[in-house]
Amino acid sequence: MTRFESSLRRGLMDANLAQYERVLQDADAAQPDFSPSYLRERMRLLADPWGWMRRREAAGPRRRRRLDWRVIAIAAALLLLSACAVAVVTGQFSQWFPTIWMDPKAPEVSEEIVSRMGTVIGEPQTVDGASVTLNAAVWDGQELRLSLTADIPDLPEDFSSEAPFYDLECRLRLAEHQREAYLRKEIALSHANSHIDLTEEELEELVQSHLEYPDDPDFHSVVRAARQEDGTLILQVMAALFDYVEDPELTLHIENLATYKVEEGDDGIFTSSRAPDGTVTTDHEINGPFLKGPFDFTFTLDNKLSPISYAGDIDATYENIPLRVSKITVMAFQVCANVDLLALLDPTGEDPDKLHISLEQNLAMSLNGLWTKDGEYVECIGGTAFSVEQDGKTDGEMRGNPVHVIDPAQVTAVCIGGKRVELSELTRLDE
Amino acid sequence: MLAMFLAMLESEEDQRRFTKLYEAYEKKVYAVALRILGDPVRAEDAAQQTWFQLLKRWDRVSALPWEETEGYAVTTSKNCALDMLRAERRTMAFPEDWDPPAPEDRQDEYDYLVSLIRALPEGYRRILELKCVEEQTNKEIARRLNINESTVASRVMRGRAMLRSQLKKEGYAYDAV
Repeated sequence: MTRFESSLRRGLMDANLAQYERVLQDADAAQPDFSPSYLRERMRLLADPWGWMRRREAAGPRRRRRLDWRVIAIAAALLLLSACAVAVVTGQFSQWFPTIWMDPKAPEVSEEIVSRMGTVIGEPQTVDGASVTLNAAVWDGQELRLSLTADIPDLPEDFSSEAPFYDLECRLRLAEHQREAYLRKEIALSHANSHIDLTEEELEELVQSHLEYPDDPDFHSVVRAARQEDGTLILQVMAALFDYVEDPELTLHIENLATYKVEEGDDGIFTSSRAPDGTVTTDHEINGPFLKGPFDFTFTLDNKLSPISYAGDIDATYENIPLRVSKITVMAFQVCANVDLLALLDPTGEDPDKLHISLEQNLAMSLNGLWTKDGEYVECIGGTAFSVEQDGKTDGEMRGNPVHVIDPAQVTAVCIGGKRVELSELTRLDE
Repeated sequence: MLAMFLAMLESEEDQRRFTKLYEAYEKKVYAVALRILGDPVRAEDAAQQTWFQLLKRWDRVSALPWEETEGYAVTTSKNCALDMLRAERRTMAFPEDWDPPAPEDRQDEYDYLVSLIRALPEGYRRILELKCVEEQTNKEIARRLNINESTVASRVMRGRAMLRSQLKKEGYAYDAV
C-alpha cells in the first residue's frame, strides 16, 4: 500500500468523523429512548454475538464466516504442549520436539517419520550471555515446527515456563525472493476456497498491496516452552506454512521473549495483535523480557513429508445428514476432508424446513480416525466447519489430528462418522 | 473435539473484544444513523445492521488498531444508513460536480486530503469508502449499490485521480501524485 493509499483509507474514515463531529460529541451524553425490541435484540447480541449474527444471516442469502483452521490447528498444537509430559523419548528429534505426539507402541517408527520431515539446523547464537540454538525444523507441508534450546544464565527466579508467552516480538519471515510467489498462491487459493472470483488485475493488486508489508505472509507463528531445566529451556515455534514454494528459505527473528502477567481471575486467554502499521495492542500486562535478542536464524527447509491428496465422490451420510466427500488430504499431523452438505443448513435450529446439526452430531460425523497399512486404527480429534454460500450451497471441511504422528503414505483408509472410507477407491492427485 | 473446543475459546476472546467495541460506540453508531435517516425506528435498524456488518468482518475489524475503530464503525454506520435510504428509494441524486476547496494556510497534506474527501461528490466518496475502508470487491460494491461493476471500477479510479490531481495542483508531494 502506497503512502497515498494508506492516507486515503484513513482520510475517508477521518472525513466521516469530522463530518459527524458534533453528532458524535453529543452522542455519549445522550440517552436515546431505544425501543423495547431494540433493547431485546441488544441483549441477544451481547449475550452471543456470533449466534445473533448467524440468526440474522439465516434470514438472508449471505455468506457465513468460515473458521480459520490454520489458527485452530496451531492452537491445537499449543494445547498438546500441556499434554506432552509423558512424551516418548527415543531419539534426537523426540528430544528436540517433546510436543510431537509419538506412538507409545512404536516410538522408533514415530522418530523415523519425524526425522524424514525434519531439517537439522544446529545454529547457535549468543547475545549478552544468553545462548540460543535453533536445533531443527519439521514440516508436514502445512504446519511447521521449530525447536530451540535457550540457555539463559539470568532467567528470572519467578519465571514459569507454563506462563503464557508474549511472542509478538518473535517473527518468521520468508525470503524476499519467495514472498511474491507465496502470496500469489495464498491469495488465489483463499479466494477460490471462498468461491470469490478474482480477476488477474484484482489478484495482482492484492499481491502488490500485501508485498508492501514485510511481515506478509503471516504464518501465525507462536512460541511456547516445552521443557525447562534450571536455566535451560526447550522452546517450540509453531507456524502455518503451506508448501506454496519449493525449499522455503526462512528467517526466525527473536527480538524479545516475555511472559504475560497472570493474575487471579484471569480467563486464560492472552492476546496481542500488531496492526499493519506496527502498532501493538495487548489485553494483559507483560513482564520484562526473559530472553533479550535480537537473534536471527536463517535456514532453508530441505525436507518435508508432503501431504497426499485424494479426490472422489463419496457418500458419507450420517444419520439424517446427507454428506458427500470430494477430497481427502493426509498429512503427518492432520487429516482433512472437503465435504458438501446436500441439504439446506439452518445454523440456528429454528427453521423446521432446514437441517440443523448439533454439536454432538458435528463431532460424531467428523473425521475421527484412520487406518494404516499394518491394520492399526489411529484415533483423530477434530470437527467440521461449514460455510453457507450465497446460492444456498453448503460446503465444509473436516479436520482431525491423529493422536500420534503418521506417515501419509501408510494411510489406507479414514473413518468419517464411523464409516470406513478406503483411499484406494479414490484418485490420488499427485500420481 | 479439541478443534471445536478451541473454536469456542476463540469466540470467547472475540466476544470480549466485541463487547468493548459495542460499549464504546453503540450510541455513536446510532446517532450517525439517526442523523442520516431522521427516524429513530429506522436508525435502530441501521445500527443493528452496522453491528451485523462489523461481526461479519470481524477478522478485519479485530485487527484494527483501537484508534481506527471509531472511524471504521462510523463509516460502516453511515453506509448502512445510506443503503437503507437507497432501498427505500428515498435517496437523492448526489451532485457530481467537484468544487475542491483551496488549502488553508499551513494546512498539512493529510488535513488537506481530508478536506478534499469531504468535498468529494458523494457518489465517488461512498464507493471509495466501500473499496478502501470496507475493502469490498468491485463486484460486491456493484451488487450493493445496484450499479455496473465497470462503473464501480471507473469511479474508484476517477475518485483517486481527482484527489491526487488536486493535491498535486496545490503542490503537495504525496508519492507518485
